[in-house]
Order: sequence, then C-alpha cells, then structure tokens
Amino acid sequence: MTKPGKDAKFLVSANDSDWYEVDGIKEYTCDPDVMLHDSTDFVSASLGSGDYDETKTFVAGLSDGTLTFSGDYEDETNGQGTVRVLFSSGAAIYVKALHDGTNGKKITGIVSDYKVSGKADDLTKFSATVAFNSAIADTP
Amino acid sequence: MAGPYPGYNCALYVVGTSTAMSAEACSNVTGDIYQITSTAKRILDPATAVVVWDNGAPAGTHTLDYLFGKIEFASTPTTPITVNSANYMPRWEVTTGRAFDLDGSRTIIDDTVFSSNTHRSKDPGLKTWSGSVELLDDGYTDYDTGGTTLTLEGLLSDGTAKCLEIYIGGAGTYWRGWVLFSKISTKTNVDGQAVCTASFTVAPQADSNGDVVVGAAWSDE
Repeated sequence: MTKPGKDAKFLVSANDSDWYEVDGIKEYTCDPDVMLHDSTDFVSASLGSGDYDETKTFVAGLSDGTLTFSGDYEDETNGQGTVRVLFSSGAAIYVKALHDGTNGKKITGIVSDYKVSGKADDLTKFSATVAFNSAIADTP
Repeated sequence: MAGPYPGYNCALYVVGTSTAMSAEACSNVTGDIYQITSTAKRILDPATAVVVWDNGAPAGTHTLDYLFGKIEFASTPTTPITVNSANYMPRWEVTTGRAFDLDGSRTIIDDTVFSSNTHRSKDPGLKTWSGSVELLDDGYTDYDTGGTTLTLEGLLSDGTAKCLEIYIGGAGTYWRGWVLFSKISTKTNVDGQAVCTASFTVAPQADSNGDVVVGAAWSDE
C-alpha cells in the first residue's frame, strides 16, 4: 500500500515516556542493517551437493543502523530542543518514526551528529543523525 | 511552535579584546542560578579569575558558565550577587555574514560484547563542533567599532581561540563556542562579490586554574 509522506509523524523522548512531536522535520531516512557473514564452505559451494546450487550462503550477525532527519530549524523546547540537548549530553534518545502517523519504527540510540545551517536567502535548516543502540522495534 | 525562521534574521558575532569589569550586578535566572545583568558583559574571559560576591562578601560554592555569564550556587545565596572582578569579552557583529554551517559530531564507541543481544551496543564518545561562515568580505573588514582592529585574517594569523556567536534569527536562541579559525578562503570573480569562507573548529579553553571549562553550548541548555 502506498504511504503519502504527508501523513508521517516524528516523535522524540529523553526518557521513553514523555513523547514530543518534532516540528519542522521534512524528511527522515531510517537505515537499519544487519551484518551478513559469508558462510559458504566447500560443501555448499560444490555442484550437485544436495540442497545447494552454487550460490553463496550467509548467516545474519549483529544488527545496527542510523536514522537521519532534517528540516527547518525551530526553537521549540520539547521537540528539536530535546534533540539538541541530547546531542550535547550524549544521553540516550528515543525516537518514533511513524510513516502513517500511527504505525512505524521505534529506535533507541545516541545523537551522533547535529547540524544547523543558515543562509540569508533561505530558511534556517537543521539535520541530525541517531546511531542505533538497540534493536529497532515496531510501534505501537 | 517557534519557527521556521528566514535566514536573513541570523547574525554572527566574534569577541574582541578582554576587558576588566568590577562590581557587575547579577540577576536571578531560576532557582540558585544567577546571570550577569548586562548582556554586553556575559562572555567571561576564562583566562582571568572570576571573583563572585554574595551580599558584599566572597560567595559560597558555585560553578561558572563562562559562555553565558551564569553562576550556579550550591546552596541558596543571601543576595545581592555581584561579579566583584573578572574580565569580559566584548562581542562585535560580523556585519558582512550571509551564511553559516555549524556541525556537531560525536564519536560513537562500539562496546558490543558476547551476549544474547543480536544488535550492536554503543557508548557516546567525545564530541566536536566545527563549521564555516561565509562573508561578503575580503577578510580585512574591521568588525571592532570600538577602536581595536578585529578582522578575520587577523583571527587566522593570531592563532588564539576566539568566542564565536551564531544567532539563529527569530526567537533568541544562539550558539556560542570558543573556536580556532583554521582556514580562510577568499574567492573573487569578475561579475560577483568577493566571498570569504572561514572554517573553524571549537577549541575548549581552560580557566585560570587550568581546568578546561569552556567549549561550546546553546543559550537555552
């Protein structure tokens, strides 16, 4: 099913309890990944060896990922302010990225990057990256 | 909601020559936190000892915020609070600024160990701030209208850290950091303005006791 981006919501929390929608965000990219370890051995690689068909085999290792979001800089205390303060302190950030406004992903991580830029002939922009520090979860 | 903000409201400031002050009044911010009342004297020179008085006598245990001129007491002071002696850094607007980039980055340290967890585990490491400012300037504009020369070229050749302020126009939040300018690039073409781009990195400073106390922070932290 298609999901128009306009329905999305993006929330942050410093304590996994008090959640605040972040104003100003126009885009987020969630990039979870899993290490894949090549487990191909002589048996699996050999032609005509039972279930195998000369294709490399892999085993899943540790999961990881980043969440990057960006938009217009806003001076709110609870949303973007939470991101800014948690970058400074290095404390855990909790994020809910809800692609349809209700359902989506919940991430616990550390703010690894926080950027602000301004130009006289544009809106003031911000972006941030969260490095995952736990398994990504579906929410609600 | 506060914002978004058109960028033309932003402003850049850099500090000039360290200047002595005495008997400077402070106002209560909240709880046991006080701040130098004069907005022009809130950036304290970390190299000079700051002597705080409470009701006319040396104040009790407190910590100093050198970037924003704040004093936080360990217990409720008697008041009035004054900064009996210190040096402040007068700030001057970089009047030719037209753009900035401010990049905060924190090292993420992997501390994954054998366990039943299937995901990586991490700790926050050290953070750094860097960035650049873009000016319609050749690098030699004097921003100090008070009599001392203060140019970007001078800041580069000076080699000493200066406090840079980036004001995010619109609602009063601003970022301050003690920075070293590492590169100043000037570009001029025949049908445009001379554009100067100065790159900086935050270089935390030590106070008069040798303790590193001043890096960078936002005004509302």
